[in-house]
Amino acid sequence: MNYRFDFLKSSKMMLMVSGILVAVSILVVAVPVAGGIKFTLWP
Amino acid sequence: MRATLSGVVGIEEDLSNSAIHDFPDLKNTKAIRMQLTDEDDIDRVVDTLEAAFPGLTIISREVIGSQISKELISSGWQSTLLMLIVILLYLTWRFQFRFAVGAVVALMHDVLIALGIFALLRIEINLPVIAAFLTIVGYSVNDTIVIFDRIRENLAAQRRGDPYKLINLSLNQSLRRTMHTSLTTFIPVLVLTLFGGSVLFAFAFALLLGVVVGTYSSIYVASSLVLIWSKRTSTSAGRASA
Repeated sequence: MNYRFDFLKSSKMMLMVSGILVAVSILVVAVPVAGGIKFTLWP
Repeated sequence: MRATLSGVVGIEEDLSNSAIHDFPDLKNTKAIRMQLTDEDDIDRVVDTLEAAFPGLTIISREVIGSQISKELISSGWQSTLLMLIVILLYLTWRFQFRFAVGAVVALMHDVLIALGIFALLRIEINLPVIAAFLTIVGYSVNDTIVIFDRIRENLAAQRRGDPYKLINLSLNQSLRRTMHTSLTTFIPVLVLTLFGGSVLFAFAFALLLGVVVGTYSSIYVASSLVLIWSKRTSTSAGRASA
């Protein structure tokens, strides 16, 4: 089976990076000191 | 008009960022949206505008209360959640449960990262932004489905093939298509973000993030999860048959 790029070679590492990014995002959204989410009233 | 709004005396809120819309069919008619809930503050704004623009007529005035706005926001998140559940059920029906889980995790990943960047940059989340998040979900699932469809075709053609090689082959086969669609979507959204003005910025920026993160997650999150699941299934099936 010939293919040009081996995308899945680093799949576990990429998943780990994504997991860290998601964890940081949740932290930033949840903790107002880090960033805090700001909702507005108007549509 | 914007200068007049920023010069209203006795209001703490910064009104210079208020959205002013023109109506193409109605000459000299404008709609102004401000973040004010106090009726006295609104009266002050109206008085200032009437003083600055003699002959000004207020056609209508609406206040969206905090309760209504909370309902709008919560309905936005409820619709996102409902969308993810429906996608999970549909993909389980059309593909397999492992594909559905991979796609939904990738979608949640996209929305959460976009939300995190919004929170980090302190960009306000309003209903157009929630609409953009729903669009991100739609765009990303579209990209993921194309790759999954190719994986399914290759799996059907080579039932005993190595999942690692089959998924990698499918990713390579759909790479050109993924890159073309992502780039052609990215360019207009980038132009909209840069030149769309302050009113459209948050919406366009959410879409821009969605295109980039959605393309990444289709390849590295959704497909990787399907591979890990497939490997575990084949390992446990091998153990059972041994």
